[in-house]
Amino acid sequence: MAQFRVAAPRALDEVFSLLPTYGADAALVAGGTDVLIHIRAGKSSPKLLVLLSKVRDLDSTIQVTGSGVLFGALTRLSDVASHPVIRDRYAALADAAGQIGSEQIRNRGTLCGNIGNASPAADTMPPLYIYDAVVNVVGPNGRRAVPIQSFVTAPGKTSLAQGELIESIFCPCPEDGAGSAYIKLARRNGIDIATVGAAAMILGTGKVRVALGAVGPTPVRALDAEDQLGKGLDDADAFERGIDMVAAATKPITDIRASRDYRLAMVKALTREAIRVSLERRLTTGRVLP
Amino acid sequence: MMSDTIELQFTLNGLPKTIAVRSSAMLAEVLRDDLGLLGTKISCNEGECGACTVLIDGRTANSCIVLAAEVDGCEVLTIEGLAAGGELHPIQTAFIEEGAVHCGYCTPGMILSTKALLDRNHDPDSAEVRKALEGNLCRCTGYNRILKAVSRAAGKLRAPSPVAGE
Repeated sequence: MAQFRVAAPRALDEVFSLLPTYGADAALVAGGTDVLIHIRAGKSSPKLLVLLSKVRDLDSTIQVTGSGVLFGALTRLSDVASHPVIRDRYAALADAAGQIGSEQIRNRGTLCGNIGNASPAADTMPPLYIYDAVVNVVGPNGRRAVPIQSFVTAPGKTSLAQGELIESIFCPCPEDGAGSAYIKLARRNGIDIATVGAAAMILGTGKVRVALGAVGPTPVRALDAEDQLGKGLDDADAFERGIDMVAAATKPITDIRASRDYRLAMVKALTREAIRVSLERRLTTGRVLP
Repeated sequence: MMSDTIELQFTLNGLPKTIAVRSSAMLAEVLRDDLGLLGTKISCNEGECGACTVLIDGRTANSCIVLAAEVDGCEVLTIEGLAAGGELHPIQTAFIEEGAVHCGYCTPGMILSTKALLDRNHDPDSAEVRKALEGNLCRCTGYNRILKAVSRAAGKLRAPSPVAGE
């Protein structure tokens, strides 16, 4: 394995003073479940790993407020998956977080790390797209908020400038009566990367939101199809036209996991299923008010 | 902080431990090579197989992809800590009684994942057991006996005291 050093700073100021010295040769580690594996596989060779887990200014909790939920930089995926308010109001995100890797991975891996890693197949991304999440970024020159849809710019690339990091992710509260779901297709249930992932949300007003993962260089919010799908909730022909529009919004490739054609077919099947489960949840789940 | 060694203070199997290690060392390497705790196995070495599973603050983790530096200030439990005092833990006894140990390489990880599950859920159903063990692979494919052993262990741990004559 490549040689690197590890620093375990206790404060954000220390992080910001360390990073410029190493520039692109420094890597931030939250849970480390991707960083360490990439190093071992020779996909990256940073000279310095900066552990974030001991930084006292970074948070590992889920804060529920009147306007939404705030996930800290160090909030673990297993806590996202099991939190009662997330399971109820942000069910698609709980679905996604609970299907990443294995329990061991979810206990170490963080939500912010899953976003910062910027994999096109990141499971938590489609749910964050439908909830209109905001990524709160902090750097030596201050803080800024980035809408999730402009955060990831290409596979493995984000709008983070060098020296910046994700301090938290905010999800505004969906309106009462909304239901959502994330459906993951992978070759097996445990420890696999999504071949296709689909998130949907049905709002109380009958509006539909849909976002897809692993079918383009970045996650895709199928904005153009959403009106049509909303009209199609009680018109089967209109609904199928909406499903076709979702597929048209994606740009899947052929790789070791699946062919382009198979992915296009699965985009349609998974979107239908995500909408079906969202509708079911809209009607049946008891609401837990924050 | 930037030196190549890093000093760790943590609780290992219930006892305080202070050790200086290479800053880039993985927890599994430190446990096996520096501390001689060979019950933690390294197999895939990329966080997939679960043979290196330990508990960090009560939660399962793949120690092959956790930097040792991460456990500074934490509580770590390895398989050696389960039978502290020389008496097997009821989960270990259940694995033996059900014949759930074949080659044995996955067993320490299976048992620690089972402990994490049963600590938070005294009566898991079959789906919950499978979900909790999804990160532990057995290549002898003795899964049925392992699932039976988990169920048996759950029963033992729920029982108020050992039943005479069992």
